[in-house]
Parts: sequence; C-alpha cells; structure tokens
Amino acid sequence: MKSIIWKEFRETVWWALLLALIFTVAQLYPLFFASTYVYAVSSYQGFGMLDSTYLLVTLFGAAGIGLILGFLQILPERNADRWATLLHRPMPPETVLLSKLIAGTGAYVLAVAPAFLLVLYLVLTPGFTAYPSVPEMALAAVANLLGGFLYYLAALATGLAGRVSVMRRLLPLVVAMLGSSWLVEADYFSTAAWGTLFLAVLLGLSAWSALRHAQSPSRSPWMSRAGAVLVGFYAASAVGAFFSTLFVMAMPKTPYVSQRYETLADGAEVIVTRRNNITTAIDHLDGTPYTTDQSQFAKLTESTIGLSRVSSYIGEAHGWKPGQSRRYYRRAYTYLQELASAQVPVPQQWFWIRETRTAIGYELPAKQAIARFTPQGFVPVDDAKPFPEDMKVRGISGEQLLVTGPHLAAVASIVSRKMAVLTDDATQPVYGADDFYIPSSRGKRLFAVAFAGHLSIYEKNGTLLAQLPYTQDVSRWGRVSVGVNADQTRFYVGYNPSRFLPVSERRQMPTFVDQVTQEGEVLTSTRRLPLPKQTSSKPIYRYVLETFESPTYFFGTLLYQKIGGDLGDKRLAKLLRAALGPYWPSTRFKGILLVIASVLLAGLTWWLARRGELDRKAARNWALFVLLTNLPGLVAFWLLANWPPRAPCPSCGRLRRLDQPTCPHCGAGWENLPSHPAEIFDRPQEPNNATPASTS
Amino acid sequence: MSDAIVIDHLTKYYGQREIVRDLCLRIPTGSIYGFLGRNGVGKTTTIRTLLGFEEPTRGSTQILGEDSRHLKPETRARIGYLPEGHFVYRWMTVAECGKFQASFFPDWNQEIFEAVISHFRLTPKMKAGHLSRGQRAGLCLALTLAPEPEVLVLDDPALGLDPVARRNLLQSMLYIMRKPDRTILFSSHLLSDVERVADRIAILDGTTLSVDSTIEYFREHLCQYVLRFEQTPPAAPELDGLLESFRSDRELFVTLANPDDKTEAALRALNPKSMEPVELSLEDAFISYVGDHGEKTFFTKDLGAA
Repeated sequence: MKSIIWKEFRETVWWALLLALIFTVAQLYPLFFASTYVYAVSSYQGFGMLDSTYLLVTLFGAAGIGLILGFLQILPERNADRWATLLHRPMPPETVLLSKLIAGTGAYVLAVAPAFLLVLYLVLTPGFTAYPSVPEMALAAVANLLGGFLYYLAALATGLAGRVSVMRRLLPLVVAMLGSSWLVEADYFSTAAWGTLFLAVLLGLSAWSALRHAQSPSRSPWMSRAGAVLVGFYAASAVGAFFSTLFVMAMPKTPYVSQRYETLADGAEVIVTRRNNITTAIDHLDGTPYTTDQSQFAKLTESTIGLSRVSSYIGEAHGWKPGQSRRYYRRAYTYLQELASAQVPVPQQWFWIRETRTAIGYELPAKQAIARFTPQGFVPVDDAKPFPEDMKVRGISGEQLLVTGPHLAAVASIVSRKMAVLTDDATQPVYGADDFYIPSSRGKRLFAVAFAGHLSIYEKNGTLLAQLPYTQDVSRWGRVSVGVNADQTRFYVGYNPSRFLPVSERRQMPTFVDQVTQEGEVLTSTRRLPLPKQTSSKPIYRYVLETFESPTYFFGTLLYQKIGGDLGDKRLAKLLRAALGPYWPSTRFKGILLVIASVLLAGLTWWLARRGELDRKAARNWALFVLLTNLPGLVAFWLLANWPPRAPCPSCGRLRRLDQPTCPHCGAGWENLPSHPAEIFDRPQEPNNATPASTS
Repeated sequence: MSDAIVIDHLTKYYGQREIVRDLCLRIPTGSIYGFLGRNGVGKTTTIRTLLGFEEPTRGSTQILGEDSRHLKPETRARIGYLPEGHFVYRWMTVAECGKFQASFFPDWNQEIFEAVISHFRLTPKMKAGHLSRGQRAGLCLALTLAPEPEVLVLDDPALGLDPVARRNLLQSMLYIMRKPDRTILFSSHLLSDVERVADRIAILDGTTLSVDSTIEYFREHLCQYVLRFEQTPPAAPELDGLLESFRSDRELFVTLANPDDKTEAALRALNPKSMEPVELSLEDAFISYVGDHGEKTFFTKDLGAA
C-alpha cells in the first residue's frame, strides 16, 4: 500500500504545488488589493478572512483544486488496460482506492494549506492588513476548504464510474455542490463541518461503489451501494429543490395584504394598508380615510415618524433573557462590528471586537492600530481593559458612540477621543438605550436611555435634552420606543407589551403612543388596538411541491422535536407545540399527503422494478427506499438501479434478461449455436447451456 | 492434467451488443495457447473477463481453479498479465519500476527482472518515459515475468514491435516455461510468432469459438485445392466447409475446412485438367479461415470490366 500511496502522491505532488502557488496568489490579491484600504469597509462586505471576495476565491478555488486533483488521479489511468494494469496486483481494489484517497488528501492539503496558513498569519499579525482579526474568522475559509475536499471525492466517484449514463456520473458532483450550499447557508461552523463530513462519507462510499460497480455491478458491498443510493437521493433532492425554486419564482405571487399603525409627520395617527408592499389606503383610527389622493400616499408614508425600540422590558424581567442573536459564522459582525466608519473625517476605521469587549481604531493607509476604546476611555493600543461582560454599543450618531451597561451609559467621540459618561449610578439601572433619527435632518440622531421611571434623551455630545416620564404601566408595557418630529418639539413614546409576556397574550394587548413635549408634558395619548392578523392562502402548487418531500424528513423532524423537547430543549418543544397546536390542520394535511404520495410512488417503483425484471429482493428494497424518500428516491432508483440488460427472446419476441438462461414468458432457453462444417476442434466441445447461467 | 483456465459458456454483452457468445475453452496447465481472431471479435473482452475486470453476462470463467469474479490477491499474485499498450509510469526509472512492482510480490525474482531488461538492452537508470516502444514492451515483460507467475496472460504483446524486439519478447516469454506447470495464454495477430511458440490455438470468429486445436491439426484440416481448366473455370460448388474460392483465367482456387473424400469427389466432378492440394502456412490458413467467406470475385470482375 505504501508503494501505491507514494506513486499516487508522486504523480500529483507537482500539480498540487502548482495549484498551491496559484491559490496563494489568488487569495492574497483580494486580501491586499481588492478591498482597498483607503475606504472604509463594512461588516457586510467582511474583513480579512471574511472578505467576500476572499471567501469566493476560497470557495471556488478549493472546489476547483479538489476537482482537478480528483480527476488527475483517475482519468489518466482510466483507460481500460492501464486501469487493469493498476488493479492486477495482489491486493484488493479497495487498497488502490484507499491509497489514492490518502495520497490525494495529502496533495489536496498541500495545495490549499500554504495559502490558508499564510493568510492566517498575515491577518493575525498587526501591520499587514487595515482591520483587526480574531482566529475564529478563519472558520469560514476552513469550511470552504473542507467543501473543496467534497469536490475531490466527487471527482474520484465520477471518474471511477464505469459504463454508466452521464446523469448517473454527475450525481456526486451535484452532491458536492449541495455541500457547498450547505456550508454557505449554515449558521454555525459545527453545522457546516458535520454536514460536510456526512457528505464526504457518502461520496467516499459512492467512489467505492463506482470502483466495484465498474468491475462487477452485482457484487458491490451493501455499504458502498447504500452510499451511492444516498448520493443519488441527495442529488435528486438538490436538483428538485432547484427546479422547485425556479417554478415558484415563475408562478404568480399570492397578494399579501398588511396593515400597521403609523404616526404621520403632522402627528396624526393613521392605519396604513399595504398590498404587496404598495400602500393602498391611509385611514384614521376610526376607519375614515385620511386622504383618498393616492398620489399623496408615497410622500406621506415616507415622512412618518419612526419609533426606535429602546427597551424590551422595564423593571422585573420575569425570567426573560434577550435571545442570542444568530452567530452566523461567515459574517464579520459575529466577531466584530465596524463603528462610525463613514463619519470619521480622517482615514480611520473603528471596530468593536466582541471577544475582547473593546473597540480598536485603525489608520487605514498605515495599516496600524492607533488606539483602543475601553472603560477608561481611549487608551494606547496595548493598554486595553475590557468593558464589563454585558456592555454593548447601542447606537452611533456621526462619529459618536452610545455604549451602555447595566448601570452605565456613555457617549464616546472617536474624533476627539473623549468619553462623556451619561449615567453611572448603581441605584439607577439602565434598561436599554438606542439612537433614533431626527426627521429631515440629514441623518442626525439623538440618544435615548430607558431608566426605571423615565426615558432620557441626549444630544450626541451627551447633553441631556429631555426627560420623558412614562405614562403607561411599564411593568407590562415595558417595550418602550421613541421618535421625534423634525423641529424636535414633540417626542413620541410608544409602549408595547413587555417581551416576557407570552406571544398569545401580547397579540391581544393594545399598544400606546404618547405625544410628549420636551418638558415632559403629555399632549395626546393614543390607544392602538391590535389589528386583525393578516393571512395569505397557500397556492395549490405549494401543496403539490410539498407532496414530494421526503416523509422521513417530515416525520423525523417531528420525532426530533419530540425527543429534543422531552430532553429539555425549549426551542424544539415550542416548535412541536406549534406543529401540533395552532398548525395542526396544516401538519396533519401535509402528513397525510406525504404518506399517500409515498405509498403511490413506492407502488410505482415496485411495478417499474418488476417490469424491468429486477429481482424481487431488489424491487422490494427500492420500493421501501422510495416509501421513505418519496420523489427524490424514485429519481435515484431510476438512475441507480442495476437494470439488467434485456433483448427480445428469439422464441417469443418479448424482452427477456440476457443474464438468465430461460425466458420468463415462454420458458425457452437461448438459441443453440448450430455447429457449422468449418469448425475445427481436436477434442469434444461441451454442449450448449450445459451449466447454469450466472445471475446478477 | 488439470486446466489452468476454464471458460465455461461465456457470453458477454455490452448493453445490447453481443461481444462473445457461448464460449467454452479449457486451457490445460503447462500449455501455450495462442488466442486468435480478427479485431473486435472479443479476445480482449474474454481476457478481461478471465482476469475479473468484466463480469460475464452468462456463463463463468475460472483461472487457477478460482472464479474470476472473486480472485483472491494471492491467486492474482500467481497470474502475470501484460495488456496491450505496455503501460509504464513514465516518470519512473527502469529500476524504480522494478522496485515499485517488487513491493507487491513476495516472490519477486530480481534476477529474472535484470535478465529480461538486459535482454532488451535497458539500464536501470533509464527513464521509462524515454524508452522506445520495444524497450517499453521489454520493461513491461520484465515486470510481468519477475514474479514468476504460474499463468501468463498476454494481450497482443508484440503489437507495434520491430522483428528484433518481437523475437526478444518471445524468447523472454518462453523463459517462463523452463519451470513445469506454467501456462501461457496470449492473443496475437502475428501468426509467425504464434506458430513459433504456441502448442495450441483457439480462434474466435464472429463472437464464437470456431477452432480449438493444435496448430498441426488446424493446418491439416484446412486445405486449398488448385483446379486448372482448359477454359474459364466454373464457380466452386456448394460444399460443406467451403471457406473461400477464387477464379483466375484458367484456375479455380478452393479453400476448405475439414475436407474429406466427398468434397474431393465434388471438386473432381467439375472436370478440371488437374487438381492438386496446396499446403497453407498458418497465416494463409488463418486469413482464409477468418476472412470473408464465399467466392472472391472482385478481381475477375475488374478484369471483365476492363
């Protein structure tokens, strides 16, 4: 085995080194040149190893490298006699495959690792790039490189496939693409890694199956066949999902009607009705039209007074905790967030690093860190002390940052490098803070901090502008929001039910909006009753598409939720309650549809299999598989079943298996070869059909 | 004596295309078998099936007593296989090729390897990618013979080689027969080579086996008669075993398989001025046997047209 590994590695190593060189250049380019450092970057564009161009390069580059190395290992040797030369050695064919796999993995690592390690070193070393990095930001690139390995395995499986249809040949490549989409869409690195590992195992088994199938279709080990069948299933599912999406996009959309309360610029409280996001009516709260002039709708709705949420509750939390925001491993904002990027007058950029709970500023042209922002204010780069654990950057106005903790609220100016403490009193807990726009002010903002009894409004330099006492029972209506009119004479304070209340209860509760002067005098208080819940009916084609989902997945999800809920997972328990509670009619309907569709397709599978003269065992197994997997399973069956070759029976003319000695229809054997007078045998020949035929 | 190779009613299809039909062949241990036939009649497919690289559609094949579909690595070690094309890893030197191959075979005989490569004037440091076709064939043969296989299967080993290389190849191939109970099955289109080394031949003709005999027996049972006439000769009569006939201005050439007294009598009934049998070389016999049967008329037609 060592010899084959050495031979395989030797044959691919130069290619791997060449690819490594190209891959390194391709990765360094976006890192240093594509994201130009003189302009600010954003969390959405990504930094360093989360730069969108860099991720594209690693995603497609790794896939390309995987494909090239995989095909290079197989195709030059796939010539029938060359392949026979390779395999005709005293070892099982699996040893050859395993050796190729080991050598190929080594070559793949050699091709992708140097660039990755170099980039990792550069982004983590100060002075090379104009943005901070934390090691976890490399996870997305690691996932991409793992994804590239799927393409390597897919290339092996595709290259090893013997005399099979092009469709069947392409299945592993489709699964590799599915793997790429999984890892790009996954929230967590662990999800991406496990998904990739799962598909890698399937593709490895599929390669094994292809190797054995090319030699002896009927004698492949069951595990390799199972892997190939699952590859077929996932490929069919992926292609099905793709075409379903295209189909849904092509179908006319169901109209969606929504209603919501708005406060117009003149202070009027109205209900705005939208159909497919286009305003169709603006009415007073009593239902009379505010205006029927449709040309005014756009202007009126563009200048409504937006209310920014300041708190989720005031006072007792009743056990409620803010939900953990999705830590999407491929987004820069999971690890750090850019601060006041566009507002800083010098080419500086500031980043809030979640891990160290400090902010750090960079001078972009010099690619140097210039200062840090800490509880002590602005300090030299190396003299940082982290903020308390629950400190948050709540809002940004110009180059001013609003940061809050349990008792602390402060405004920090990046330009002047000064911090103004708004409140730091242990007896006055801060329940939330946010910034909000001043209408028609070209983006100017104010800061709001929610205390137990009032809402404090600050200007961006930290000057207290107003103190607005609460007028509602904030122990229940503690989700407070705030807005202001253009000349800052009227503040609008919204009171929504606190987050700790159950959703069902919150939906029944009214909300309030107060119009308050800068001095805290309440001018009006409006009670907003809950609006009727808008529903949109599901179009019939959605049901049709859902009918072909895998019942295993559908019922398996319910079972997973049940087990998870019983083990204490509240999220899963909640999902199950929803599926069996308010959504029970839909759940039941879909479940029944899936069962009916699967049973019908399993029956069809049995019929097709028997018609194609698969033996009973194979027909039964395939029918069972389709019963569990529905339409994608049927497609996999069609592509992957070992359809026996057939030809017309010389006796009755109906199709019969070539590998069987007798015709199932008329019982005739194969036509005996007539001996002809030119035959020359110096010893007697065995009679025709003297031995039982082989079966497959 | 036991059979080293047993092909039992082998039928092979690729899709709907029949490649080999109902082939039965037993190759006794210790024999050298020439496997002959025109291009595309299924020789390579049969060999590949025999070595387990293809699955029979019907029937079965055995080699060294083991079903070809389940050859154990130990059994495979006892079988030498040289496919046409003489594939070598071009980046290896001759010595590296030997070392690489030796790592798989516990009974590797380095002396044989060195003897064969020197027979082909190869040196260990030569790069395999720089070898001529004949030298490459020599290297491949050395790699195949050095494990001292009990059964040697060669698929058109002399294809494209010059006469010297062919002779070297044959000599090296025969070297394996110095030990008892060694068997060789080789396919070839070079009948002089076959005649030189083979004990027996098997001929595939249009997917089926038509000949399985010693070379002498084959030649004895194939006969050409030259019939001379005073005038333009008549067409050859419908005879059992008639392979081909050809008429010139005053002569009729008739090639027959398994001629007997009846066929001779039928030919004499044409009243030729003279009739004499001609002994055919193996090559002529083979060409007559596997070529297009019936009367060859194209030449006379051309003359007539002129």
